[in-house]
Amino acid sequence: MKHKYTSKADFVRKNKKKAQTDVKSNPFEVRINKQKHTVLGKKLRRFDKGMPGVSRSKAIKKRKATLLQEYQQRGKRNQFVDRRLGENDPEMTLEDKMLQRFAMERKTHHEKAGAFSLNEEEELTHFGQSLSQIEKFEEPDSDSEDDATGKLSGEYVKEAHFGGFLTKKTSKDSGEEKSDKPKSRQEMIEEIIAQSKQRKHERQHQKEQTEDLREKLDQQWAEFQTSLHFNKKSQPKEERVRPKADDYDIMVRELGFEIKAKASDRLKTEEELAREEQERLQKLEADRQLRMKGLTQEDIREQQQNRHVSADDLDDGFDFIRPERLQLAYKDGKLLLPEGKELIPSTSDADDKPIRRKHHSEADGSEADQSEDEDKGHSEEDNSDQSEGEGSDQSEEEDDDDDDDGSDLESEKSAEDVSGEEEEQEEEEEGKDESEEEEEEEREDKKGEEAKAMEKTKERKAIAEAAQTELPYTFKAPESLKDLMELMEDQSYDRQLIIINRIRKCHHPSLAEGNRTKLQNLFSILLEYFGKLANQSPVAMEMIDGLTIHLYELAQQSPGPAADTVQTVLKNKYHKFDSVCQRKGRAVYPAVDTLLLLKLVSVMFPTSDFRHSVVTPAMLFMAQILTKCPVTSGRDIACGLFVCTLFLQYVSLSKRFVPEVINYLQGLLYLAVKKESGKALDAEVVPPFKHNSAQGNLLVLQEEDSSTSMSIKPLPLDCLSKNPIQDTDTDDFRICATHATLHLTNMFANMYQNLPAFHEIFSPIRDLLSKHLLLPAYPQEVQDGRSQFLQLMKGDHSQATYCPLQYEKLKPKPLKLYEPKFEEGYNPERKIKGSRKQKEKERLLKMHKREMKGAVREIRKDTQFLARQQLQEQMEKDAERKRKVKEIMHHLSSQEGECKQIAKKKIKIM
Amino acid sequence: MSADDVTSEPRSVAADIKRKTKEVLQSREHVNNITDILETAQSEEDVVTAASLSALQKIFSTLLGRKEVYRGKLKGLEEETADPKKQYSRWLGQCYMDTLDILLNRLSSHDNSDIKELALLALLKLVMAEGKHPTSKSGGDQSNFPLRLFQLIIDKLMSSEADQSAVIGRFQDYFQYDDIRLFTFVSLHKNLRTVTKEFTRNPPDTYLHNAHTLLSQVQMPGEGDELNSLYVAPTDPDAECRPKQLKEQRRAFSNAWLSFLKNKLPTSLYKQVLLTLDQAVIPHMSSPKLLIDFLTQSYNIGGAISLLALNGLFTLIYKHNLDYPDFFKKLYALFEPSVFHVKYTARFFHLADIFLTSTHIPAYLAAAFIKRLSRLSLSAPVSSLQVVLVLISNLLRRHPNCQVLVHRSGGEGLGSDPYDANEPDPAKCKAMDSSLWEVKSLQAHFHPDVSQAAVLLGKPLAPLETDLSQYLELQTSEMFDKDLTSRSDQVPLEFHVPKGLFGPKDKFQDIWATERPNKKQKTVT
Repeated sequence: MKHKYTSKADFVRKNKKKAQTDVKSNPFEVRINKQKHTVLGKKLRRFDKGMPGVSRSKAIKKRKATLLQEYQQRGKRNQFVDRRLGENDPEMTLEDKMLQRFAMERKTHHEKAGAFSLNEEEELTHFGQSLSQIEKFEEPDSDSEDDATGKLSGEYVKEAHFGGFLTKKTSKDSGEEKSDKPKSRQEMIEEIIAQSKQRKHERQHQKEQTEDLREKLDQQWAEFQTSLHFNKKSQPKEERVRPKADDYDIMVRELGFEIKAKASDRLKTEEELAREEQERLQKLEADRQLRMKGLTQEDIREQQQNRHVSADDLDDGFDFIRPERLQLAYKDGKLLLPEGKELIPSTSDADDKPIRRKHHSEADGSEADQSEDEDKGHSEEDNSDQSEGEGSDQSEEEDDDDDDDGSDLESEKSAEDVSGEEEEQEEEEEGKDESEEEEEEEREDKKGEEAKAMEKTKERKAIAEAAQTELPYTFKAPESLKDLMELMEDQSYDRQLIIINRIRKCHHPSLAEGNRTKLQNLFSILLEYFGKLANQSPVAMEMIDGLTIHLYELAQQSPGPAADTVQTVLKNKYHKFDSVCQRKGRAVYPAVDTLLLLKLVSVMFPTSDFRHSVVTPAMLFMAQILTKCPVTSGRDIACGLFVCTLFLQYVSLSKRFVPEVINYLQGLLYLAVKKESGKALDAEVVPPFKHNSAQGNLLVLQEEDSSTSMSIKPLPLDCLSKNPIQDTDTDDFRICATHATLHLTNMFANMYQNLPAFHEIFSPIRDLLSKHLLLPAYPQEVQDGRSQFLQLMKGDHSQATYCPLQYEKLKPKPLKLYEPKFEEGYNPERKIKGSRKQKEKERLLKMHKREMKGAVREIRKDTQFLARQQLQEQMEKDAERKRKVKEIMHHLSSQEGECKQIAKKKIKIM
Repeated sequence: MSADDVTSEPRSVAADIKRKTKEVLQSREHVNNITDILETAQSEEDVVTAASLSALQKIFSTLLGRKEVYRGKLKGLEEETADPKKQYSRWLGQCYMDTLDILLNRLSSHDNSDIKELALLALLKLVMAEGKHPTSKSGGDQSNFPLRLFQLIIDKLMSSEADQSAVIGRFQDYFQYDDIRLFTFVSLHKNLRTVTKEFTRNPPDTYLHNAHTLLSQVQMPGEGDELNSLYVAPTDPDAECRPKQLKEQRRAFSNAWLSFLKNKLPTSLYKQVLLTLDQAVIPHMSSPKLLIDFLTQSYNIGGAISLLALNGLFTLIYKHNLDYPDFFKKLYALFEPSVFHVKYTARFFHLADIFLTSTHIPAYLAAAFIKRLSRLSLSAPVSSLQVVLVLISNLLRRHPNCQVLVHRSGGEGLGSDPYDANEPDPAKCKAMDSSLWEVKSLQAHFHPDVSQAAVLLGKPLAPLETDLSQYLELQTSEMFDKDLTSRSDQVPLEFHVPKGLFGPKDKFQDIWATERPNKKQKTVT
């Protein structure tokens, strides 16, 4: 029988160890960098020690086994297969191989020879030794004596710990049974575990035994005790009655356990609320400004991050927002902290909105107060739910108090506290949208409460009047406009709004899972209803206003889907309009619902954004309307004016330039000029207006006398509808329209005053007004409008300086800074910034590169190896040849010599 | 024989006609059937007419092959000849003339276009038959082409009453034959000359349309093409004859076109002609310079036509060394606000880009164009603005001298723009002293794309030109769709809470009566 290892892994490990020891034995293959100072316990770095020779020889050996074989086998069709037992198994030692072969031999021999043997006993062997000889098994070594403590025995510790250096020498003397090789760590640990387990088991056993003993003793004691004591004393414990709790106790207990009211945040004063609201608005305004310039929050953040302020940075670069750098300032021994960090808009917009900065120094106190006052006023205007009269009075009073108070310190302190809170609030707002939403919800709830109060009073009245007209309080969310119309049938507009409100209340997103989608659906339905209402011939403005508010609030709840809905509606309307344009080259003015929808867009979405997915298309639509629709009637003029006003509204904040509007206004003014038939004015007009059209005199007054004293009224919205009640073919309308046109022209001119080509933009209109449209028969207001415009043009023209254009100055490339760039929280371990994906990619790339390099190196070494081999072969061949040649030459020379000798002999003989 | 069954079933009549045709072709005995067929050819029924037309064609192509038909002048030969053979052939000649009359008649005026086509095909077959067996007089040269008959066909095709485009479309297949092509031009030229004279250069529109259809359908052979596919085989196949010479073909082509262009064309046709002129006509003309009169005339008409005429003019200048001194001045004059609102805006800018491609244009001229373009951009619609801005930037790249328009260092402020927009001469408009303040203004344009394009002009330009073609056909609807789709995940919302559709601080307040009569403040309930 042959010996078997417990596992193959064991075997390999053993062999490996052997190999390592072999390798280590060759000192020339190990390279060690010399160290100047050896420090105890210092780990060797990766490059301090290496074994280049080892790896090289390993590689060569491997090549010999594989590549060389292949090389030698090249050009050969067949090859030897070594079928010797264990020859291909590298894990087998020579001894094993021999054993196996011997066993095999014996087996075959046995099979052959033992076919007829009857009584031959097989001798059992172990390691080639007869088992009968090693019959006596020695007792396994058991360290049973040192298990009492549960710790490792002292002897073991001595032997095992610190490499056994304490006992090494002695052990050699004493321990015969110990193998000459030290045990591996694994083996040692296994040994320890086994021992401790054994000890544990024994302890348990002992414990059980003592327990048994004790129980036995107890039993005996009990028996003994009964005989010692009387029975009397042991009884009364059970029967003791608890005293009944009286009221007082109960009360005390109750009070003790009563839930204590938790400390709550104090209610915010109105002032604080207002300030919060104002700050929120400020932040939103700042955001809007950024969007107007086409920058996003991320851009800003990046800019701020990338910006590295060096000591010699002059800080003259152009940027919209610079992080407020805080000056260290102390006041009365206290560090001054900034109040709410604000984004400060660039100076170009300064005239637009007052920059709100908080000043801390007392010198600026008055200014600060002023600004605060302003802010307050502002916020109250904006805050629709704020009570109007009282609140403002109060706050003003408080302001006064502040002013009067000598103790600025205290007030400031409190302000600081507040500001801290506010900062937090802001951060929250920035961080989470949810919190914002919650706030909104709160606000809505508040509104709802107020509304409920209102409702209550109303309801009381209603009850008094008639109980049967009461509305139900819950409604199902309508699926389509039809559903909604069924709900609203025969209801007055007020009640319809109440219904909508209740639907929204019932399906508030916080109440149930699918409510958000229901509300989104409601939004599209309401939008549809909006269009329907707008197309009614007297437009129900009350209802439309109510709907607008609802639509606005619904949009605030879910902006994305709301934008989608508006987009689809807008898209449908536009494509309908555009298809007509494509076919005919012109189109009619869209219906009122489209116009009001465009207005609604400006209510719901910020029109000043550089690019907005709803507003930009809407503006394109409007521009298209102004260029493609020819003016043929009073209604067309009204629509055109409406769209122009819309544009004014859209660009009033951003002051963007809209050429279409200017063209259109110019065209309208052209219509107001009286033209002799068949004779075109020399004024320019741009399509859709034409020089010679049938409606060329649409805005020219019919009767010139009676109109000078007429009063100007604003245009009614009604004239936008296709069949208006009022006639648009009157001089009244004409005058109003002309006035509106002039008014719009003035507004736009004022807005574009700063454009460098302002004069060129408005020069056609100026020519028209100064040469042709003198307006003598018009009311004073209209004439004022004209003269105002001309004044503006004239004044501006005289001042205008046309500075030659220059390229925008690029930021100069910064010189290399001497000051090192510090990165906060720098971690050398984790250099790569970026997402997980990016990192993964980088890692893979690196791996690929490394593998590639390795493969190339391997190939190079292979070829080197082969070349060496070939060279060697060649040298061998050469040597062989040389040898042979030498031999032959030798042979020949000896032959020659012999020949000569014979010849000499012959001569001698002769 | 059976004139009575004209009234019977058209199908049986058709079958009858077929039978008769066979009989005629078999022997001379049944020759009288021809008169019957001639009679049936006048029938109202389309089937019958078609059958008789094809029958007549078949009969006469065979008889012409047998040389039995007399084809001399019939008038002087009234007196009876005793020779029955001659008599017979003269009678046949008479019938042939009648046949041709009927066929031509059908070709010129029949309600059914199928019959027209059939008549055309029959006539062309007869042309081939006549060509195969020429009389000594027909055909001036070796080609044997029966020019007389062909002229008649073309005359009928060029009807001034009916639209012959369907038939002409059928005729197109025959243009692969070089002789047909050549003689079409020759006869068309002749026809046009007479018609022009007749109507004093103002022929009816239908006629002109027909002529244009015919002319535009011809595919002219190129320079290296071999010309030897002939419809009517000449007696000597290797001999040089007119149709085989490209020069002849081109001359005929030019003549036909020139005589066509002499007429006063209706506007739509005019535009169509001008659109195809430089691609389809000028390369095949024997001397394209002859078109100069036409082109200058059309340039003077103004509007879209002059715009299109420029294209032809440019080709002449560019490829045929035409000296036309005022070209750029005239091009300059075409840049006016209405150019954005005509149908051919894209084409105009495409051409303008090509015209101004040359870097040999003096800088003052380029500057004038740039300034003009930027001035126009102030009143241009959104969709065209990107084209204008890209064109300006390309011009600035081509003419680095003009970059003073966008970057002039160390200049002083001026009282007004030195550029004179009303000056028609680009050399005197002082564009070089000006700057593109208009483009600067457009940086504030409401549409982000336009604004960005304008902003790009405010910076040093990248050296490579921008491709204009992607902006040429840009429609507002495309921009609209693009803006709709370019959506970030977050849609910003207005934060000012409204009180209604028209707020109190609205811009609408002064102009529109937005306030409701009952000023009841709405509360959101």
